[in-house]
Amino acid sequence: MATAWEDSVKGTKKLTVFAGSSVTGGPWASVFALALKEFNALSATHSFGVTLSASTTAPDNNGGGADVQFEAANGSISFQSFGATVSVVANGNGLSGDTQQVISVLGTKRQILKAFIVVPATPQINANPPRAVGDGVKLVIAVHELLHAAGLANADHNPNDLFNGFPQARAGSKPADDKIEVNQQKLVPPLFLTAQTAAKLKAVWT
Amino acid sequence: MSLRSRLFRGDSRLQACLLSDPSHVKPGDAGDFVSKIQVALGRLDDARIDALERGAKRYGPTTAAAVLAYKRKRNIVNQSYQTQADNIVGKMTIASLDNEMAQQEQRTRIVVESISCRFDGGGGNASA
Repeated sequence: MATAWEDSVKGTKKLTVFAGSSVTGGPWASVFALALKEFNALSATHSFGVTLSASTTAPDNNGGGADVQFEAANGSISFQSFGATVSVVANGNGLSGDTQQVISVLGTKRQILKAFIVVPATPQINANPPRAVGDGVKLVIAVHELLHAAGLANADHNPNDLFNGFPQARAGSKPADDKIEVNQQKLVPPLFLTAQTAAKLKAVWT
Repeated sequence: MSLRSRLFRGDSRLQACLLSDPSHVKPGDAGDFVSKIQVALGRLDDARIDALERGAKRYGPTTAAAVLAYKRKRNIVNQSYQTQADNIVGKMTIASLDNEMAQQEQRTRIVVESISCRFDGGGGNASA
């Protein structure tokens, strides 16, 4: 079940996203900027009630700085947030994404305070032999994880759109043709969401 | 007298604000100490501070408005020279914020929800 962001952030209808040097200085650089743009396009289409903007200030342990941090890693990476340690171990060559939601629990009220996204530093696809995956697949991974950062949980995965919980990578004849297959052999990109997934996000932002 | 909330304690700039009138925090200021005030206003009053102001840790117009609202709600007015609240964080305001934050921190638990997604279930060829 999706979790809302804390009221003070929710009220602004905007999340700020900081990309670390692992992103801005590597193969995710152009994908990151495009992912924010694609998320905002989906938000405009489906009226999520939230848009993303890039920030140059990393989240700090006290709750300051950007709302979301986006990093690429090979191996372990950790963050400090509100006194909690957030740790992820990434396979640098994998095709995966991890999102950690830092949540405050006050009685029955649960609200996201920060989110941390970790993607593989140099993701590869099995094209026999394996090679670097194309930007299209990286874009799908990035937007999928940004949807988690915006509040969607594991249980919110939907087989019918890019928020598929068991997506299948399909290698093209060249990296630009690599795709992610979701249900019924639909290939992304282009990115699309069903009304059901959009409604879950909208429910926690409006 | 020291700041006691986890959010504020150890911050020399906010500690100075607690003890010294000239060290008040005001519109135009920027830095981690401003960010902590913004976080406190958000947590305590659901204050809607502009995302860019929060990102830049800058005491801009929406931070000032949130401070003014916080002070009005609690009638934080220095009677020796004021008749109404202003948008500056001085001794009385930082003490109030610190006290409320310390109380909230005692009641709040922080948890981390981990979500891992794999995109490599297949490996066949795309037919775009």
